[in-house]
Amino acid sequence: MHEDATQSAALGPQNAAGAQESLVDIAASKRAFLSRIREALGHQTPPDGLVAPRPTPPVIDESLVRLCGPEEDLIVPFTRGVLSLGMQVHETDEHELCNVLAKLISELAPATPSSVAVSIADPLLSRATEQAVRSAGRERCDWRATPGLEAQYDAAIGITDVDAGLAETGTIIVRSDALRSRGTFLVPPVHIAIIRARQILPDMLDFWKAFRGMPPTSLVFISGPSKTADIEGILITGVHGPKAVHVV
Amino acid sequence: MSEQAGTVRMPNPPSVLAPALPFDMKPRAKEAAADRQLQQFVGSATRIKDRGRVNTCREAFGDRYDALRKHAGAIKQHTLDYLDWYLEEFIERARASGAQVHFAADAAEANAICLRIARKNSCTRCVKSKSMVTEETHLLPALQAAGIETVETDLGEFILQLDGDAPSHIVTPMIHKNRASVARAFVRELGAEYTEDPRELTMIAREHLRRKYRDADLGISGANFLVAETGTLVICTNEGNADFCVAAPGVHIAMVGIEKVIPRLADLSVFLKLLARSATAQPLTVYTSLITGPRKQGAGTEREHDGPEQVHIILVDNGRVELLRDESRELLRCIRCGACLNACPIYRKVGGGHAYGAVYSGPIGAVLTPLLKGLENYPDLPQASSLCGACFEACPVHIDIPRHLVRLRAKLVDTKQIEWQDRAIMRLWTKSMQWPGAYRLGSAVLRTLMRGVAEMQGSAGEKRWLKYAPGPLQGWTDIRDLPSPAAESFRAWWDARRETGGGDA
Repeated sequence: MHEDATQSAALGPQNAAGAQESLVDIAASKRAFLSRIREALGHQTPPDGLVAPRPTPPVIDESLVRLCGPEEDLIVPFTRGVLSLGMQVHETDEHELCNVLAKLISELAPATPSSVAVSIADPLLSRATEQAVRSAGRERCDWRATPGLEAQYDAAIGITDVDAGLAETGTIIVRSDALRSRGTFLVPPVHIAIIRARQILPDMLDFWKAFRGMPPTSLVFISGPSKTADIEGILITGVHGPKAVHVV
Repeated sequence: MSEQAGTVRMPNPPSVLAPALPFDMKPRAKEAAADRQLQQFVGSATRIKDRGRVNTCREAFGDRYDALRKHAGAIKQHTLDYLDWYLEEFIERARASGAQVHFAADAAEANAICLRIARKNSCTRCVKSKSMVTEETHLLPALQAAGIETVETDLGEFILQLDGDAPSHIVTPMIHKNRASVARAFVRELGAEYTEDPRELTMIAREHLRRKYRDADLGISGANFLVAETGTLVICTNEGNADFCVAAPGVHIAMVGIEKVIPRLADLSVFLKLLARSATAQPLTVYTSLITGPRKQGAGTEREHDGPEQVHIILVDNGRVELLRDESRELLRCIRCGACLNACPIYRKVGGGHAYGAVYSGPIGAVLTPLLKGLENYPDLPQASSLCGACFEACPVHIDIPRHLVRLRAKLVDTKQIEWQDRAIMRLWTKSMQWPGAYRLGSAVLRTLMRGVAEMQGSAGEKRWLKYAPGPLQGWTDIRDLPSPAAESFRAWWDARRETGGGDA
């Protein structure tokens, strides 16, 4: 019943009688819905206070699912994957990161006025990026100043860090939270994602094995620039999301 | 291509997938089979995608492909066998994350819940990403009737909506439209400059849709998976339009069929690896987005800047629960990849989805639609198959579609829904199989008849061919020649050999 109360509260301000009614409605509607399913499956409704035993899902057979095993150098397959997905790759180290970024920004963002949106939680990467934006003579897009995604529609580039990369396909996994906006990898026409070598995992199986706690409100697996082939089967990138993705 | 020849004429677009019932498939199928341009478009698109699936899956999984499909099927089957348990877990976890979960027994209820949420939040401008369930419930007209301006954001769907047209193909919805007709639609509806360049056309759409995203107060999507263990929605797109629909407006509604549940996040490794490869020969869709609850609000450090303030998940039954009762349960494994459509020779021949007269077409639609909407309403669909089994080989969750097609055909016979001619022939066949005398007489008559007709139609050399048969057999002989039967039946030949104690043929 507790969760029903949570949902009822989320429905917004209501008078006491209204709130009570909704609570009963929600609980009743859920009960009716689930009991029809139980009945169709031939399961008994557990008596009040008791819970039906937890079913055991089949163990995932890694021998069938795994596409990339733990290897010495994951950068090679990862890079191969990134390129085959239509994204670009730039390799660098901590010392050169700022310069590489500054150069990319200068090339990819048109001359002023043009802003760069940044959503990075990693402090070192964040500092390097701030510096790079300044060196390139561009403005930092202050997306916190306006509600929602508004500010980022005028940004030329969005720069993010990543949760992980998957060597199996060249996919990058981007998280949104208090420090990172959902719009940064989506709204600006160019997305730069900064990944540390140690963040590259062999296979999606490994990502989930290492996953701890509840998922964030938004976790996106990105495998290329936004694309469509609806008009006469011709592939076009950048239909809604970024035209180009650069992985650094 | 001249402007006139550019567009295949579509009869009364929106209702093309909601025809008068009971639905007779034959007229549309006939028309499509005669339409050379449609055959070419649909034929090449499906063949390319099917070959793509085979190549990508063989390359990735090698010999493990079939075993993996069985494995994925087993996980889905387990989930369905305990759907009550997993749904309850999903509801609890989703609510714990701050999402609101609603329950819709049928299409009317699903739409009503949607409208109620919209009204409560005073929403008037909606952006929508593609969802088969919303097609099932006819959500779009319901929203528009309620005064909520709704824009389809999938590029193909957007163009079709703009031009008052309907999707002709589940995989590539505007396969029947050429660039000139798109250009004309953009000039007419968007006031754009005329251009036929696909890149420029796409950019016009992009700019237009971005304005819509910015103005929208409601975003509606479907979901590819519901993860029970965390209450997470998984949405897969190539364009990223669903991500805009979720992230830009303040209210997000996801309308999802109950069968989309999977037990754990880890199970995504199995299903995601198969989904995009089966659908479009990609390793993963460009955007695979996991949404768990609305943006974190409140005063703490966890407070997020963007994302929807409300996330509503409408769990839809609309006939699915009935399928749980018996062996039809297996059909709910379907992850809507479209691989069976791409593999099916019938689907190609009848020119795609319109011929099936329903939201779910192709092999899976041929069994799902009659079960969801009533076999008496769609008696032709289970018969639109040669039982070649290509669909079974393509299905990433190993659904034995041919078996269900045969089951439904048996039901058609049991409920006397097949035509009297077919019943008569089957009765004749049964009699001849039961009585050896009837069989001998029947085959003798048939043999004499066929030889006689072949003789009349004449052909050089010893071998005679039946080139033309009248009446109901005409369709068969239009594209085939039957060899004339031998003078002596095999039984007679065999009996003669046996009496003389064996020997050479």
